[in-house]
Amino acid sequence: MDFHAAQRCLKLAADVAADADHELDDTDVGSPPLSDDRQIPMTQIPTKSKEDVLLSTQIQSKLDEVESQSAMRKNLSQYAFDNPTISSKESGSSILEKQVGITRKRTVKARTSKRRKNVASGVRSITQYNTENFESARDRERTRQVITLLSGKKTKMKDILGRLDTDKAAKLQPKRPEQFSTYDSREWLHIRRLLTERYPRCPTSQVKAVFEYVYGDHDENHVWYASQKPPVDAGHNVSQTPYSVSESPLVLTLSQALEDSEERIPSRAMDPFTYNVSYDTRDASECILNTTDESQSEIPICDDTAPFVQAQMPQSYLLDPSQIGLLTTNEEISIESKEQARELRFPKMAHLADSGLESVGGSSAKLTGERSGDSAPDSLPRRTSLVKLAERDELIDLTQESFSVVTSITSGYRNEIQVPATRTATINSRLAASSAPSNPMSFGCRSPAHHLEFRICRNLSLSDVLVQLGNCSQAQWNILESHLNDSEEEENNYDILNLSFNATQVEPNSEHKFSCSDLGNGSSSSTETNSPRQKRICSIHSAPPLSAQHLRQRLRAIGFKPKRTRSAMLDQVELASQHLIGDTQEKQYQALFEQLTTIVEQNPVLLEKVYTFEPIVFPDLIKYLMKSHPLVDNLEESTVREWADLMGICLRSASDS
Amino acid sequence: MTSVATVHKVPEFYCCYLLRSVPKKQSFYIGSTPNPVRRLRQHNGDLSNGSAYRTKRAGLRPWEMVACVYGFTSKIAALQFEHAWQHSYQTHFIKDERRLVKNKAGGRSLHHKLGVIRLLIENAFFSRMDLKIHFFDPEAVKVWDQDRFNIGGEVIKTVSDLGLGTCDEHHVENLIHVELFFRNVLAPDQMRIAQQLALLAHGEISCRVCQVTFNYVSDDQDENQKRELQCNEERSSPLVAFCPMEKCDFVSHLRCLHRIFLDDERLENGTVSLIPKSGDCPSCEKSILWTSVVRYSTWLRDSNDRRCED
Repeated sequence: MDFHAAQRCLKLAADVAADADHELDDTDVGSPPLSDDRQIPMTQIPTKSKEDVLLSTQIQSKLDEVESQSAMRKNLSQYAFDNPTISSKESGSSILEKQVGITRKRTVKARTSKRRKNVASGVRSITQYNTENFESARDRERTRQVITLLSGKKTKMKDILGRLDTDKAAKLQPKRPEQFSTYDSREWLHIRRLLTERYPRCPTSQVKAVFEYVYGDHDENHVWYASQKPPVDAGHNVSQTPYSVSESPLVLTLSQALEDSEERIPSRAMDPFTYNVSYDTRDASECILNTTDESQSEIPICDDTAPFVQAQMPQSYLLDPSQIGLLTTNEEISIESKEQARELRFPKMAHLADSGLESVGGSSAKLTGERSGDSAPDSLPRRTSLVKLAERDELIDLTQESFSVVTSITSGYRNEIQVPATRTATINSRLAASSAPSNPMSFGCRSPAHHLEFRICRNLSLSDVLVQLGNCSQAQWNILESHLNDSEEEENNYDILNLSFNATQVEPNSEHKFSCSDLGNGSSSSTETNSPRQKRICSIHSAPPLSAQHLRQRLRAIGFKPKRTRSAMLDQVELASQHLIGDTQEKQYQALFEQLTTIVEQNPVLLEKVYTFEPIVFPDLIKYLMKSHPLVDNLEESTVREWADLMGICLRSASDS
Repeated sequence: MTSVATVHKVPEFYCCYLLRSVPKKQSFYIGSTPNPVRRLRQHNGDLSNGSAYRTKRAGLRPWEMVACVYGFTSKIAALQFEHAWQHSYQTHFIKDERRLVKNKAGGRSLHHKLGVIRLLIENAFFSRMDLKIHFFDPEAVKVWDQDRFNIGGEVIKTVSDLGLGTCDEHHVENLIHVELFFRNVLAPDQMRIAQQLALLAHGEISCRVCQVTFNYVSDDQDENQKRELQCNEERSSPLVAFCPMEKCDFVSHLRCLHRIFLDDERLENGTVSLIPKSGDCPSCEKSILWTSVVRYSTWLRDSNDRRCED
C-alpha cells in the first residue's frame, strides 16, 4: 500500500467515522446474544484519541515512516534555508497525523470479522447458526491473536474489538431476538434413524469432532447449549438437577449403553434418580453395566445367561456427550427437564430398550411409567406411547433371521455385542470375554440384576422365553398385570413377566439394592429352571437398518409379496423367519419351496394329479395352498408359479374346458 | 378340486411342429397337434377345413414340416410350449439373460427357431417331460447340430430317413415322411398297451408293492372306489403302473411305484420333488422313465373307462 492510497483510505475512514458517530448516538441498546459478555454501554462514544486507534500494521508502518521522515526533515530543516515548501509539507503531514487519529473502523472491521449475513427470519436452525458463527468466531479469535501478537497491545486490542463488536451488533443484528428452531421428537427419531443408518459404527473421534464443530464453544447462557454440556462435576450436576428422585429417571438409549460399554467411563456422580428395577447386587452371574452405579465392581457375564437388561440403561446425561453418538446426546436432553418442557422427549430412548422386541430392561421406562402413574402422571407421559414399533427391531431382530436354534444373537447395532436370544437385549459375556476374560472389571460395572422384567408376548410360550440361566438355581416367573401394557403399542398382547432368580455365583457387590415397587401384581406362574435350557435362539448377523425399502427388497428376494405398510412388512418378515429356516435368502427361498412341496405331498389326490401330469387349475391350487398354510397368503403369485414349474406341475387357467 | 369332464390322460401323441413354406423359404409357422399328418394336410389345403389363417395366404402354400417336438404330457403343456416358441422374446420359460430372440421383429431364421427349442427344453418344466425332436429336413438337422448360438442341451433327436427326394413335389414327400414318423412313434406304444390290457383283463391283480388287489375287469366300480378311497374320483379306474419294458411283467399301483421311485431319488440326490424322473423297475431292474409309466397308466385307465362306459 503506498502512501497515497493510505491517505485516501484515511479520508474515507474519516467520512465513515463521521457518519458512524451520528448513528451510534441513535441506536438502541440491544443485547444480542453473542456479545453478552462483551457488551458495553452503547452510549459510550468512541473517542478519537489516538490511543484507541489501532491501525493496520502496514499503514502503521507507513505512517511511522512518514513520521520519521517528517521528524528527520524537521531536524534537518534547522540547517535548511528558509523555504516555504518545507513548511507546507510539514502542515500536510500534520494534517495527516490528525486524520490518522480517526478510527479506521472499516479496515479493522473488515479484518477482524466477517460480515454476517442478515438473517431474514427470526427462527433459525441451531446448527446453521453455529455453523455460521463457528467460522466467524474462529476467525475472530485468530485475528485477535494475530493482531495482538503483532501490535503487542493486548488490552487495546480487546477494547477496540469489543467496541467494534457491539457497534456491529447494533447495526447488523436483527431486532428480533433469535429463536432457534428445534426438532421435535419425531424429527429426532428420524434423524437418529438416519444417523444410525449412515454411521452405525462411527468412531468416537469423529463423533467428537462433529460435536465440537456443531456446538463448539457454545454459550453457557443459552439454555440449549447449557443443557448439552457435560457436567462439570457431580456436585454441580446435582445442583442442576433438582428434580425429585422418583419422577424422572434418566434413561438412555440401548444403543448408547451398548456402544459405550467398552469405553465406559467409570460411573460418575451418583444419579439421584432411581432405577426402578430391583436389583440384588449380591450375586453376580451376569455382568451388567451400570454407569450410574457408583461401585466400580463388575461381574463377568456368563454366556447366554439371563436376560439382564438394561435395567442399567438409565444413564443420565452424565455421560460425556461427545462420547456418545450425537443423536443420543440430543436424545438425552430431552427427557428430564421439567423446566425445559420441550417436545424433545425421547420415549424411544427408553424404548429402544423396550423396543428390542419386548425386552424390558429399559423398562425403566415402563417402570417409570408405573412410578409416574403414582406420582406425577403428567410430567412423564408414557414414554412407551410414542414408540414406534418400527424401532423395535433394532437390537434383536426377528426380521433378520429365522428362529432356528443357535447360540446367540448379535446386536443390530454392534457386531461385538451378543445378546441371548430372548427378546431382550443384553450385553453378553462375549463382550466381557473379548475385552478381558481375566479382567471382568474392565466393563464398566453393572450390578447384576436378579429381578428383571420382561414383556412377553402372549403367543409365546414361556419356555421359549426362558433363557439359559447358566448359574441359576431357581427362577421364578411372575406375570404382572397387563395394565402395564401400553395401549398404543402395536402388539397389545403381552404380559409383563417378572423374573427373579438366584445366581449361584456370589460376588461381594452389594452396595446397591433397589426395590422395585408396583410389581408383582397379578397372577403368577412360576417355573423353575434348574438346568440350562437350550432354546430356540436365532442367530442374527448385524442387520442393516430396516427401512421400508430394505424390507421390501428382502421380501421380494424370498418370494413374498410385500405389503403396503412398514409394520405389515415387518410382520411378514417375522413370519418368514419363523417358518423358513435358512441363513441366506436363497436358503429361505428353497425352504419356501420345500414347504409348498410338503403341502402337496400330504394330499394324495392332489399328489396323484401332479405325478400324472394333469394340468391343475391355478386359482384353485392357490386357494388350497393358502388354506393349508398361512404363509402362502403372503407369497407373490409368480413365486408359486416358479415353484410349480420347478416341480413339474402343469398349471392352467380356470376355463370351462 | 374341480372335477373334470373327462379324466386326464397323457396324450398318446402330441407334438409342436415347425412348418416352412416351400415357395418362401424364410416363412415359418409354429403349431401344435395330436395328429401331425392331418394337420399338415389341413395347412396345405388338402382337407377342406381346419387350416390356419396364416397358412392359407396365397404364395405360402404348400408347407412342409421341418421339425417336430413330441412327447408332451398334456395338451395344455404342448400349448404352452407352442406359445413360448412363438413368443420367445417374452416368455417366462426363458430367462432374460439366456434369451435368444430379444424382440418381436427378430429371430426369424431357422437358426433362431431351432435355438429357441433348445432354450425351452432347458427349462425345468419342459425338461421333465422327456421331449424328443424329430427332423424331416437334412438342412434343419445341420442347423440343429451346428447350434450356432451355443445353447447346448441334450435332446433325443431322430431324423427321417430321407432318400434322395425329387425337387418338385417336395411337400408330398414330406407328408409321407410325417406319416411314417407318426406311425413309428405310436406303434410300439400301441403294442405295449395292448399287452398290458390283456394282462389286466385277467381280472383281479395284486399290486406287487402293497399287495392290495385291483380289478380292471370288474364292473363294480364301487368296489374299486372303496379300495382306492378316493371319494372325489368318479367312476374311474385306479391307476396302475406297468413296467414299459416288453419282457417285464411288473405291475403295481401307480402310487406305490411313485413312492418307490421318489424314495430312491431322494436317497440318491437328496432332492425333494413330487415327480420322479426315472427309476429302476423293481422287477427287471432296468431304468425306466416315469413319463412312459404314466403315459401307459393313464392310457389304460382311459381305455378302461371307455370300456366301462360302453
